[in-house]
Amino acid sequence: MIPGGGDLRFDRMPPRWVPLRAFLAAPVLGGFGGLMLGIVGGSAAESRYVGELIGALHLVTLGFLTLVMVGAVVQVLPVVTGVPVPGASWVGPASQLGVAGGSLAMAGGLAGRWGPVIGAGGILVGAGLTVFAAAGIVAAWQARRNPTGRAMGLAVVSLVVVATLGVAFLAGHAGWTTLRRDLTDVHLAWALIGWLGLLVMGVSFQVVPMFQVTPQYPQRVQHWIPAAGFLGLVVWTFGRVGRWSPVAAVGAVVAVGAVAIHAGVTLWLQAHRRRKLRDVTTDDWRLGMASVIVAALLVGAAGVGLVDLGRTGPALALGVLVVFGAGVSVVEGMLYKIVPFLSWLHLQNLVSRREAGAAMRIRNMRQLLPASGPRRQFVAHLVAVVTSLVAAVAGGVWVRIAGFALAVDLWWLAWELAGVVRRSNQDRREVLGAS
Amino acid sequence: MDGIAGFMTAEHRRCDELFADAEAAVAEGDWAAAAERFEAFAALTVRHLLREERVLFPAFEERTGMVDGPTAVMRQEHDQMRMLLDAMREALHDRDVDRFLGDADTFMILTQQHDMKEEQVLYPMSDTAFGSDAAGLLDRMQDV
Repeated sequence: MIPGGGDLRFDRMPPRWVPLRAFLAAPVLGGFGGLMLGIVGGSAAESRYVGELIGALHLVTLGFLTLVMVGAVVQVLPVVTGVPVPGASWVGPASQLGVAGGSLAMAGGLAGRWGPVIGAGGILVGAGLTVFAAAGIVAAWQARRNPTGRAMGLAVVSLVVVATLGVAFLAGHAGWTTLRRDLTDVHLAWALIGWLGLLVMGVSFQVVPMFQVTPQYPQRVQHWIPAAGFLGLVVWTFGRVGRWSPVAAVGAVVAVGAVAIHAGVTLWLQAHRRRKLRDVTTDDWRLGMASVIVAALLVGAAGVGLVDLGRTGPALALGVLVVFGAGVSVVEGMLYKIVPFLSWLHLQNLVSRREAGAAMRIRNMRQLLPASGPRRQFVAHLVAVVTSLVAAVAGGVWVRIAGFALAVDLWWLAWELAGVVRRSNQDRREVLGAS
Repeated sequence: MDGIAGFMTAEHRRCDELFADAEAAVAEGDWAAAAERFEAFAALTVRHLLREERVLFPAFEERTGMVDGPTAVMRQEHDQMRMLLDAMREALHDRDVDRFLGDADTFMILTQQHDMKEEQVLYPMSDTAFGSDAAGLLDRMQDV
């Protein structure tokens, strides 16, 4: 028997604009989250439950992070594991449309206290993620022998938990059901450690050693760490919901320990990389992994009573570290490679199909995206992370500053990526004109 | 990991190391070392491509009947890699750091996603499809 043989076609990928459209829209949506915080200012950070804060945060976590991550799973899983995502050509666009439209609606609804709009947002996000999760779980199950496929599968299962709770919360905000705020931390933990954390782990097992020419992740890390993170979350959730503190503590130590170990191993591998060239993607990964370790230390400090994560400031700081410090950094670094490569590949395929264009020289990735822009944008990202941390603790005017800094960070990213598309469209016209 | 998958995967990693060494020399402006390391990298890469094009792919197509399947895409990507190797050699000759590094980055991503597909799918499929004949096929590939 030939495993997966019959249906295997590497060229059966969605057209270029399908992933690109989502990758370009994502930072624009995320930037609106920053703008929202900038306009609302200090009152948005008075508690974790302010509508504008929840809306703005979800423009970043759903509108930016999840929109890109869904596209990445549909694009990356088949390449990495050889298992195609069923219905990839429509699952990607349909789920991304649901997530993008839904995150805008829920943010607008939460800010304006419009129940029906919040509800509509919940339905859109829920529908989009259901389509994605169903296809993703089928594909990940077929790819379960591969550590990346397994970690991605556990991440998608976590997403189901996150989305189920999230849609229930939105129904509560819309006034359709009781709002269960006691489950907010469960939603957060599965979102940040389960969906975001496990997905980054799965991608890193392939991407870090291959692209930065580092040693491989140890087999034990690849086999056990994602599973430990997932099991830790399950145990913590039972402990938390059942109010068995020792059980919850054990689960928390295992889950947070797993992501911290992964981050530490990743930094160690990067320190031993053979490809010494420093670029913005490497810096983004380093910032991301360092943020995970600081976040884990913060949880550890809370565990021994040094910090009270029940207070708004430390809780928001933890969220900033994981969402902006880790999630946004890693995804920005990834986009700076994926978007120029997809654009180059498209041009290259166009040239090789046209004899008259064959002699033409098309721009390489660095000519499509000159390094100076992303380097300056990275500084803007650092400013956004630092001011957001200050805003979490100090509140007041810092929330406004951090919000605008975040908008600049993400919209600058969108500008750089749009530049890639603009330059590649110029080349495209030349290729088409030459034939 | 043994067999075709083991040998060819190890050769991918060796090519990556030679690539990283050449790229580092260009970034440091050490043109003599860069030229020497680049040619070592390019020679092993081209030999690796030929092992596949002359031996593995035809045998795979004959054994599985999949002529228009994975091997067609692999051949197309080999052509793109050769084109980028030529572009890098030209940039090296012109001592144009930016152009070399841009072509090198493009080559790296193209090659890595290509290698992933081979390592995750094509090589394991080949080992399974050829069974006890895999060792003989590997000998012929190593002779290239």
